[in-house]
Amino acid sequence: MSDNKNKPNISRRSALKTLGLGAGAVAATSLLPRTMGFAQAQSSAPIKIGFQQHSTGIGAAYGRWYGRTTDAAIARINDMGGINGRPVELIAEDDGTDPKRGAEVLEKFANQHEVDVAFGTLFSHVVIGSAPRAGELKLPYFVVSEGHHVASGMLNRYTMQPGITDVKSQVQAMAPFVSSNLGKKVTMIYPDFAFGHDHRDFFTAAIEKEGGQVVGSIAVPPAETSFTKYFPKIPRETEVIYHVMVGPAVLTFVKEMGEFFGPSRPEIFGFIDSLEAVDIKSPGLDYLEGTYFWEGNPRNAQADQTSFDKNFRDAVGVDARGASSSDSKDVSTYSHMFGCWETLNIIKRGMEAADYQGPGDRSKLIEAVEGMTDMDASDDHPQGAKRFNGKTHQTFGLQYISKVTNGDLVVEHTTSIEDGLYEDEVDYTTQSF
Amino acid sequence: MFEMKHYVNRFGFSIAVFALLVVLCVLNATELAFAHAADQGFVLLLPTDVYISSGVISVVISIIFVSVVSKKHLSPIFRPISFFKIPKFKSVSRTALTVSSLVSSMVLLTVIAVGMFGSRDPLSNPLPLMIWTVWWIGIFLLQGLFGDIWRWLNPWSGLYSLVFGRNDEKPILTLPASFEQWPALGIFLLFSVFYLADPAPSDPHHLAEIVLGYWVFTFVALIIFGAKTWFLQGEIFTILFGLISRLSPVQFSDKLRIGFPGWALISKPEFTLSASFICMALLGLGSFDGLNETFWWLGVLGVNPLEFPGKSAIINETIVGLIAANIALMGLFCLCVWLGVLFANRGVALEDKVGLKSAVICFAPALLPIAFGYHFAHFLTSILVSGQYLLIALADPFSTGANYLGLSNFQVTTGFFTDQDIVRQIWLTQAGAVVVSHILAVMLTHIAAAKLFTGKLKTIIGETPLSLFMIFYTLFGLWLLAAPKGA
Repeated sequence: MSDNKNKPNISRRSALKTLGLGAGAVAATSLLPRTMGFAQAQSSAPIKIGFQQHSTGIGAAYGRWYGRTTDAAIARINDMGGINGRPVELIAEDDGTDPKRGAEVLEKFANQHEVDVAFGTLFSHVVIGSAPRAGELKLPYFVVSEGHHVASGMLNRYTMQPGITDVKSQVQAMAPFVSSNLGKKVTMIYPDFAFGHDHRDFFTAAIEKEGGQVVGSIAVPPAETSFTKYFPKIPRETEVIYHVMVGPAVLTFVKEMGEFFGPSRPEIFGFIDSLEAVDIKSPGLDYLEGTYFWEGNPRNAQADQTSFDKNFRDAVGVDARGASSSDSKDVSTYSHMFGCWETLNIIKRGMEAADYQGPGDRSKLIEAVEGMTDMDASDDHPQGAKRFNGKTHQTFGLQYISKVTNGDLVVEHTTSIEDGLYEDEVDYTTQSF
Repeated sequence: MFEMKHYVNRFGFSIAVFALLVVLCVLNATELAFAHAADQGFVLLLPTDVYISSGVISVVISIIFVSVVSKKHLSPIFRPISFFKIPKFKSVSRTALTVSSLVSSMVLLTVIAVGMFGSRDPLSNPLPLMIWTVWWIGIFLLQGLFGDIWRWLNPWSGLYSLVFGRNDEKPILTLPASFEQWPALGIFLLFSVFYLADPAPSDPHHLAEIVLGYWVFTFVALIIFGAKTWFLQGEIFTILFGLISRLSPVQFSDKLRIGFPGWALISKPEFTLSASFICMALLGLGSFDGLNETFWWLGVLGVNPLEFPGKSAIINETIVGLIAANIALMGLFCLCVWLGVLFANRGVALEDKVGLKSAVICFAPALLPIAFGYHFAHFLTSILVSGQYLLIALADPFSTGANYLGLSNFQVTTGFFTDQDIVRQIWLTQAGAVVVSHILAVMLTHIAAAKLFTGKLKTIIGETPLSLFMIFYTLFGLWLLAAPKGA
């Protein structure tokens, strides 16, 4: 073992010094902004959109489909020549479905990636945790979360929700159909936390306005996985059950509800959020046949399908039953993901209207979007027409009520935009930039 | 051929086959009348209580069977068959090891660079997928199935011998041999904290810094203490993967040897006390990794599982839970060993009494199959999904729109989680891994007890508390698989 081959070529101490220098150099490069080396003129440099994505964490199923839809929308925008003649570059960062990380992601977007705008994210707590930072960073933040927090006035001028209606509007728009077609005496079953409470409060107010009444209000603890003890609490006079259960126990809920009622059940109305990304034809869900669901966008292509919906499905890679065209079992989050597509098209139109050139024009962009009102159904808006309220930063659109028919969701009623309108609760335009 | 005769000793072999059959038959006996849906939701609809009791009964039956079998009949199963011997194996493999290690270093440094400067998305950047899916899940499992592959992938050894030659004399500092592998255990606990409590262990840039930091740290430690010492006492993954590889039926040094899984765990060299605690810490990490996602644990923390506030909201709670889980596991295991020793030592002459330390060392290898079974069961669903992301990331590693693997239209799917039969098969495969790993642990425990204690009665007395531990851990592992999860 003492031949030349085995002799050390370098002394241990000098090796340590070299490593120390190397480590310092690496540390220094990692501090540089990620955009160093980009010496392109601004006119040809891409418009950068930071995509705050639920890649991991409890929102990952939504994050995956939001990602597919976003990629398809960006590809289409670039195919059509980009924005103001510049290509669009998407920078996706995982927020871990975690409010604190959500805020950190916005900081990275602003300071490291130097994006023009931030966009994305569904879960309300991430939006609520991130929006204040967007305001501090003066970074336009376009959310696709359907929460009422934008329109309620709790956020700021930099946060907007132009591509998807909020839950208050959705719930309110359902009430006339429920009271005139299903029954006036409603029992609500909902998870006992903010999400369920929003449904309880908004729907109770809306159904009373229609002359109906909530006769039973059953709040189920979020960690519950068996529901048999709750069904006997449903008052006998109940004509309609309104359910918005979410989480892994939803299937157990449906099964046990079926066991409790058997064939003589009241009418049942639910929110598709419970079964987003789940095939209604799954064996355990037979009991839902003949029941009604709110849908943000009809999962099944309808008999009167628009060319806009068809083009949207083709671009994202979704079949006529709302599943991935490469795997019919992989059902999408069809009721929500259109919001990403439409929001990106609104960002495009806003930037064009504001002749957006760079971060210096961010306030012009916000003012341009605030100036938007009616949007017709089109390839930019495949879910249907919208009306944006620039004061509340919230859009209003059509809602769909579908009946489960032979395992398909068949649209029975489409609400009008007016059904979902409510009084302004805030005027963000009065806030300074 | 002489060894072969022993190996196929009918009686011993039939126990193993029987145990396996019990598991598979019982677990598959119940057909579902109802079913379905998204992954977790579907698992909640499975008759998991029936499956769990079947699994626990299988382990109990295996304990009874193994207990009545004498060491004489059980040991031959664990005797390997030796195959061919390779001439000049050492000198050839030394060069080959250096080359493969250098390639591994280059691959690692490349993916670290991609982690720092490539896509920001953890599902399309190859670094998080290479570290968590390929390395922590994949290589770990391959070690247990096919032996010490890590030796060839070690990203330091080749560069080290290139720079310093193979002469490992005169390090700058000496790490006393009495420190055993305690430094490695310390590093493993830090790794566990990073893995479970860090809010973003998959963030490409963050992970790149951590991996590079650990690579540099280890290389510095190799320079200071010498490679031989640090790989033996400090570099946790070489030590840990070395331990796992002893589970494998295949062992390859100068000779190829094949035997019953775990045969190399009961042959020389013996474990150290610190290595025994590394086995416990590994099982501690695996157990808490499953536990901290459950509704039960989130309930303990007072967190709504349907509105999980994110990992960053519970960093301290996770660290405390991880430490508590480790202390509980280590305490419970040592308590069971201590009770067994206490009972078995009764009426034994002082000089023949078995010491607690040697008993812990002797029994600890039996924890490795359990940790391995947990690892497989816990990560099976991740492999099915992350594996697809990995393919896409490797097809376009630098996010340049390349398509090296011809996958341009490939879309990641999780549709199989909404197929009733597939979800049941996945669950039963996970449960089967947990049960089979416990049966192997039961067999290893019995051999260890027979080695420690004299006579059949003392053997059974000495191993009984640990047998109860195995039953409890089977129940715990299967409950974890069935429990609703929200994080």
